[in-house]
Amino acid sequence: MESNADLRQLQVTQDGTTDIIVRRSFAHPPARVWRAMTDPALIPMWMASKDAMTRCEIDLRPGGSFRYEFGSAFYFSGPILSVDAPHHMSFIEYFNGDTVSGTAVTTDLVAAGSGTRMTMVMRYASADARAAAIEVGMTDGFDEVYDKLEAVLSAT
Amino acid sequence: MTTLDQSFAALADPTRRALIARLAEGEATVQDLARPFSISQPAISRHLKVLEDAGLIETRIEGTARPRRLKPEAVAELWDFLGQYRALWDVQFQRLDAVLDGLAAHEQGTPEKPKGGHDGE
Repeated sequence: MESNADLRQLQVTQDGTTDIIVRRSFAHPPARVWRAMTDPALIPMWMASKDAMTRCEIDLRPGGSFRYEFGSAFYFSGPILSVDAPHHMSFIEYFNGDTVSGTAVTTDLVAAGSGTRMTMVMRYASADARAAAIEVGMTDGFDEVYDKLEAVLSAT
Repeated sequence: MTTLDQSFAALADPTRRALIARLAEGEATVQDLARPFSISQPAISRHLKVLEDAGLIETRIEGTARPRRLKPEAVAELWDFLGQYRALWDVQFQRLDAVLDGLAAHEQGTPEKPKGGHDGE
């Protein structure tokens, strides 16, 4: 197991007026990371907090599509643009079927030692759309964050 | 519960976060807010009440209309925005680490199932 904690250090940066770049390393080779990121049986285990993702479909090929549902509250869906397993994929992500303002997401996985370096670029439809995404953080996983925040608050 | 606790609790629900996202684009009526959702207007109203009680949004009275809007000072007080956004990804990728560890164990022929955020494993 990798012992270097810095290796997994997450970097989130804003680039230009519309992009957010997320960089992260994993202690596993690209093929395994690719599998976890693209297998509909595995995606709900990490993309959402427990049981929050109620439907996960992905037809991973250029011209294919995906759909991630979170109960009746909302869903993400969109077309797959490019796929080069296990190193590269890009897709457009729409919120609740709103095709007016999609986010283009490009993910690259590069072997780094025995692990993988991931670079994910999210290109929002506008500077405002990016600001809204950052402000609200509609990504699931908030519940755990909330738990952590609550623990911090309780300790003060 | 303090106001800050209440604010966090209010935002722990995905529908309410989506409502905040919509209101970040500008004020809106309950009808406007309910439109993208497959849940009823009364349900949306209940979510809005939670957000208003938490001090995150306010109701403006304009004739018979009651548009809701964000209280930017309340929201700004609550978050270091990029820090919060980063924290969400952090949690997600820590779960991915666990899934990968589970896959590796599985590939090495141990009977352990891939582990993720799910309970009951």
